[in-house]
Amino acid sequence: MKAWTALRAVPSWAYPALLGVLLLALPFLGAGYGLTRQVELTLIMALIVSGLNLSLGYAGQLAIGQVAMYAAGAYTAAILSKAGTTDLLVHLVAAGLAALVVGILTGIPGLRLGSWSLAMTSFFLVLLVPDVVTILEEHTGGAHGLSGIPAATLFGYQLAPEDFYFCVVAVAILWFAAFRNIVASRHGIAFQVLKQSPVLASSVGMSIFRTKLAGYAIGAIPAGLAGALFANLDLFVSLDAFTFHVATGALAASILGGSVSVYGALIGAGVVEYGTSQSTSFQEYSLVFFGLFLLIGGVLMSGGLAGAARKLVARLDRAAGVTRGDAAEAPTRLGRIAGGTLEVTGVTKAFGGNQALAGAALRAEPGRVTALIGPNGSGKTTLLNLVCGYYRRDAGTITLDGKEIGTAATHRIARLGVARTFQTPLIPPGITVRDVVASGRYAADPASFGGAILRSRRFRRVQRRDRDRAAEALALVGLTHLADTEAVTLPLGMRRLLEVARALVAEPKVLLLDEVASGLDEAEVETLAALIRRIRDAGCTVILVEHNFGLVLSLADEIVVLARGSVLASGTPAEIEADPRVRDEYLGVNDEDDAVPAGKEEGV
Amino acid sequence: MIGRRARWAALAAALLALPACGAAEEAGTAGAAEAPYVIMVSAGSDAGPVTDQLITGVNSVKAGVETVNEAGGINGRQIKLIESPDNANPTKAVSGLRAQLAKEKPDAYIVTAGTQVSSAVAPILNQNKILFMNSANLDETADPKQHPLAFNLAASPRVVVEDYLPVFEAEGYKKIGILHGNSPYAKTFGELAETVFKENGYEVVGNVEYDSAALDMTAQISALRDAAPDVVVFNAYGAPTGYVLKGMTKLGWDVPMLGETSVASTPLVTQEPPDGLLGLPEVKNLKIEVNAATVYDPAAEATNKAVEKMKALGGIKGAMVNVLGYDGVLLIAAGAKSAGSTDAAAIAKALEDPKVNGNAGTAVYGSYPYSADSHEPKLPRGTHTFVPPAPIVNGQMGASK
Amino acid sequence: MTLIYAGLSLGAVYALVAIGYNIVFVASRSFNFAQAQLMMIGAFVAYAGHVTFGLPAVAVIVLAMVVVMVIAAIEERIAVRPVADHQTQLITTLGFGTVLTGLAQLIWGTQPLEVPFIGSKEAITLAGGRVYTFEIGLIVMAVVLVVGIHLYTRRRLNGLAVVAMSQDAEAAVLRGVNVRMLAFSAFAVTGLLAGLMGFFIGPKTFAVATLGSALALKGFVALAIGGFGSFYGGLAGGFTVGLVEEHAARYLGSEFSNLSVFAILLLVLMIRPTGLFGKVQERMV
Repeated sequence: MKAWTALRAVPSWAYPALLGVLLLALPFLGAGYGLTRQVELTLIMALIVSGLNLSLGYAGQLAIGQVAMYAAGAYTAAILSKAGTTDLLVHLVAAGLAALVVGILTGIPGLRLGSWSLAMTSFFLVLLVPDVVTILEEHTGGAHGLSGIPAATLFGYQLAPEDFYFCVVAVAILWFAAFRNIVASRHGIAFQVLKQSPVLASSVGMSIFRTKLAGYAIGAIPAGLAGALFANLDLFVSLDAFTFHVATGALAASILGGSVSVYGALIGAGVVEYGTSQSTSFQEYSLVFFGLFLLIGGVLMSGGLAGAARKLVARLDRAAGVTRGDAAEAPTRLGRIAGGTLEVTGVTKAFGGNQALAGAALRAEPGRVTALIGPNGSGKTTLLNLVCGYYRRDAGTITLDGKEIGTAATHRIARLGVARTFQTPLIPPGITVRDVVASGRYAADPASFGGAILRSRRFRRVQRRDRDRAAEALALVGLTHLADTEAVTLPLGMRRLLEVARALVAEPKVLLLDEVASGLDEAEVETLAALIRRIRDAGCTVILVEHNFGLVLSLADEIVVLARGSVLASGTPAEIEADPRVRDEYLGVNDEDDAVPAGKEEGV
Repeated sequence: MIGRRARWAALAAALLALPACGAAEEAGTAGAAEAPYVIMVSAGSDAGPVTDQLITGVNSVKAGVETVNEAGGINGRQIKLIESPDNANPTKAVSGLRAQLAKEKPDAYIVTAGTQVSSAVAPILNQNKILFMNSANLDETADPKQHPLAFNLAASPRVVVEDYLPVFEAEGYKKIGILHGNSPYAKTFGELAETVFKENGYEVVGNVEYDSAALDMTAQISALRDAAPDVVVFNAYGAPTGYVLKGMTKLGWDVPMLGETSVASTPLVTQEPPDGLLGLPEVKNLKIEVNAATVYDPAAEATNKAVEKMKALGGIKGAMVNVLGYDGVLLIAAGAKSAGSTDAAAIAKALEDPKVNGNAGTAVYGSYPYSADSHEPKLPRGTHTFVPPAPIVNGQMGASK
Repeated sequence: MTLIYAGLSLGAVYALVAIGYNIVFVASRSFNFAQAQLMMIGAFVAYAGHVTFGLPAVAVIVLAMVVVMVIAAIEERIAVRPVADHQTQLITTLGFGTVLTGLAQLIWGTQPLEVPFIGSKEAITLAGGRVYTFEIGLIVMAVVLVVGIHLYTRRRLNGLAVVAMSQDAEAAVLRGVNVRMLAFSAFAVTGLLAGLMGFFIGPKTFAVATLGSALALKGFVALAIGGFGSFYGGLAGGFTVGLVEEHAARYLGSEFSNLSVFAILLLVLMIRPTGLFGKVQERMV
């Protein structure tokens, strides 16, 4: 175990860096041509697969269009070369751009439409490659292929096949470093949040469409680079390299290696490339072999090799008692929050024939807890969802600090300073408590992809601030000691606190808490109540939707009672407690807790 | 249930075969004192629809190697054959060739199936000064200025097309309809057919392309029928051949059809039912273009010798056009003998001599008329004839089993 | 008219693949990449039944259905059940399909084989168009199958259970539905149908190993146009793809047939993002 501790003390990027150095040194270690060629093909495949990982694993889009972008890159490089521009750098840039354009052009319609559309359009894209290549026959060589491509140069220096090996390795190293930097930034977490729950993503201020498009489009770049490398490797480009078979091979590599991983692409590509190269030695059984390889590989490596490796590392960590990250407790002071006045007037919403809200109104002020109560189906959650922009209201106005927030997109409303928690906590799997909290800051400080890749000064500043704020919020809810735990494994009470922390890091003007106490035991409710009071005292506007009448009475400054979609009564806790109508309508019918799947009819 | 058992048996066999298979199989014997003459051939056992062509092609090369080695090899050097297990995939073929170059430079390379493999390896072979016998129709390997050491073995598409003209004349066909696939060869055929027919005063009323992966040809055939040609000239290999014939029958279109050489390689039209369509209404209007060697002739010694050799190696699938690899090996041997050297350039030079390329003992074509200007055999008109479909056994019609 | 028949019969083939995808998708939310390969095997078994064993037509149908059903059941056991997540199932079913293609090549070779059809082999003239009897058979079968499935899922408890499960596997378990058994039966049923379809498709397309990949793609497109999970959608999608392909090939040229289908797909998705018959769901929080 000591050895393990020592191994873990090395920064995690050191291992891939070591692999890169090893690959660069391979020709000097007496590796034969067969091996270096295998490495080249594997790295080219790995580039395609890493693009797939970005869009499939991280952005959650089942899209296999990478092969089309690969083709775009390869033909771009080949045509450039034929036209006399043989510089590899020019090829790489042009091919990357060409792939990016293909990615954006095909991604926009596919993503706009949502759900399976992108899978289908990208799938079709692969089918169309031969048609497009044939139609552009005079440039692409059509079905004959494009041969006689002059060898690549670099700054005027003629690249021999041996030199080209280093170029392939270098491009792969640079891309994987960039890929790792994207994934290990807030964008990487954002992708995972989005993949798990678009609802959650928009509630922290991400534009679902733009984030998905970014994932898909950036995933196109490595495929384009791979295309440029491939065209210059064999100096021959033909349709054989861009078939559906290749697309499924890349998909298999992505899944076998683990889609939600950086280096899984490398492993998956290695495995599949080895499988295909070996399969030919099975002669007429090669197809059977490749099929069995996918089948058995899929069964054994369910969740991907990278996933298995991660679990192993975590187990060894526990066994060796390795702890990661800073254990220092941050101060639990909560800074001043500038709240905003939220005003809802005459809001109406019907689902089909069901009138969920009929002229509901509400006014919530900074530094006060406004509770929203009412029986099931009285429209509480619907009202919250209207505020957040998940539904479009039929009539009425909602203003924040006097400004109409209209029916803007959810992520825009979030950026105005409206944060929320959910009835069923939405915690994406596979990310740590710390990252869950940090994901709440997505909209707070913008940070570009370019900054993330290059680790710019600004990016690092934003990242440090994200980390500090997350640490503060965690300390506030008392979860600092669990910062590196995988968040979904926490018990319900802690997940609720975690959601509050995530909502808080964005320093919202208005905090919406949706049944935040349900399912908690008494002690947990106490902690939570204390926390909510502190948030209120910091100046935030808190809106609490709650069934626990006792909690509401003890916490709220103002209570609004909803019944059948409109306001039954509003006032201070004392007034509401005394109101006979409230007693009849709400407290009298005290079967709240028996209504089994709480809130099922309202979703989440 | 028999099917399933066989399948599981095959599966078990596949798994058992795992450790038994090596990478590149090395065949042939190197018994002579001198270093063997190394020929590499693009090979494999599963090339999808072109599997039969590939396997037969590689076997033909093996048969050629056997014939030459029995006669003392290439100027005394026994031939060593190296198979590149690339399944006619260009990327794998390049991998295999480059790996072989790093180990041991082959003296010659033969492609028996797969135009794209030829396109991919041709520049590498040219750069490394390796003799290249190419069964595919490729312009650059036919041009000695670009690729001085490469030779095309197949009849040029122009000859294939020109051999239609006597039939048109004899039958009085004036308006021609053309139907072709979208493979590189099929497209070349389609374009060339239109040009050549027009040059010779025939009217091309329709020239329609189909996607070789499509499952139905009704649309294309309807389009052609609307143009009302006297005869339909078509190219197809494998399943599309059947779709074309079925489509014609379905439409009840009673028009003469002249299938190009690739049609003759499709067992579907040269096998009797239940496996094929021979004798059915689908083929009653069909004539197929074959080269002389495809029709059995007891007097054609060289051809019959090659067929006998091939039989021992597993027979010939399709027609004799798939056996060009045999001739490739024999041509190399003849060239080397005449040049008195196994140097690639010397062999190439010798092969341009009609005395050499006409007396190599080749099986498919009696002579391969190469010249200093063209490395594509300038076969005379009349190399191909049109015959009604008949059973083809071991690449030939009319041979006794 | 001839062109319309050709489009419809081709479309029926695609629709039959789409229906196969749908049965499994509805029952278990998995996507069976090997579906088209099952049909290809069905065509080969039909060939073997007719030609190799010389069986009568009824026996051939039964043989094809039983053999493919068993294969599909094996697939469920080895490629689907051991794998929990649907994403990996894409790979394992793809692998299974590849194995089937490989085995078909081993056993039956790579050349197309003529599959006989019961009854008349002649094409007939119907309402001014020429069509083969088996092409009419294909169209009728696709329509009957879809209507049958529709009626079955509406009337029978089992059918309801399938629908319930596709909506919420957990809830289905709570209601006493045996989810595993259901997924298994879904595969077995698609196998059964794939065998039957193979019998009908064979005479049109021949039994050939490349049939699997050709059908897999177009079946998927049919599904995309029609909408996931909808049987009528699969049918409409299949017919649309078939008709568009034939007409584009006839009037624009064959290199435009895929592009035209793609244009139609985009158009459909623009107007109805979930496909022609897909269900629209309001976003839920």
